[in-house]
Amino acid sequence: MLSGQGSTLFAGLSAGIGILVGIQLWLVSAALEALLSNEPSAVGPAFVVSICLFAINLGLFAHGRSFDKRWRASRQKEPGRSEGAS
Amino acid sequence: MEAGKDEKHVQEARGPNWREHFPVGTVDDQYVARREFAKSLTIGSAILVLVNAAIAFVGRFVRRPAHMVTKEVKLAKAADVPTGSSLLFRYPEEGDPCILVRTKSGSLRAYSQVCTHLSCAVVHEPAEDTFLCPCHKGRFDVNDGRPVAGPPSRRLPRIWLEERDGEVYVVGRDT
Repeated sequence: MLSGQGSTLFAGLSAGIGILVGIQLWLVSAALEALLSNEPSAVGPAFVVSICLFAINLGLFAHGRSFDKRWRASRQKEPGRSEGAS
Repeated sequence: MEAGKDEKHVQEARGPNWREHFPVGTVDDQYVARREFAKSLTIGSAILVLVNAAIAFVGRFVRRPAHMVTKEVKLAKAADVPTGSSLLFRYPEEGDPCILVRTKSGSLRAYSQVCTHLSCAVVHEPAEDTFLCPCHKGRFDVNDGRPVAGPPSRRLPRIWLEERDGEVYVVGRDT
């Protein structure tokens, strides 16, 4: 298992998670705007959507973590190689 | 001399000395950096959920009153404001411009005259029964003050009126 594969994987994951975090930021600003204009009806749905986006982010990151575990295991199996990267 | 040459070959095969102290290669380094970046983004995502939860909590349990009655002021005779006309006044302080209109349906409405976008003064457009902000062409509905066009996203604060004995009184203002 190559570190290069992992780099590409985490670059892709970061791009995906980054886009969803951008949407979450927009939701926070929209919810705050609604709250300050005394129209809190949009605040609840924004919270629910934010949780959904976080769940997707967590799933994506968990996928990366599972790759990371396999990467660490493969490094430890390599003969004469000490664990360099954390 | 020969021993020194052998040592040099061994040194070249082993690579520079600093590699022994820093055994992480560029590819490994990039991998770890990107993994940590993805982790930071996920933590940021969790923080944004918490911020949204805090906003939802405040919106659910800390409601502001629908309107804040400050003082009652006699404004005008109801007959002085015919359909489609408007009257400017200041309430509750001299620095708070407001506008009173009689809508096409015949009811009296009053709002703060300060646009919720960038604080220009809105004017009444009787033909379309809307308030127009001339700065950025924002429009508000005269019936409830909600934005209907242009950049404003919040409604105009409403001024609450009472009509008694043919006189119009201002009794409160939205917060």
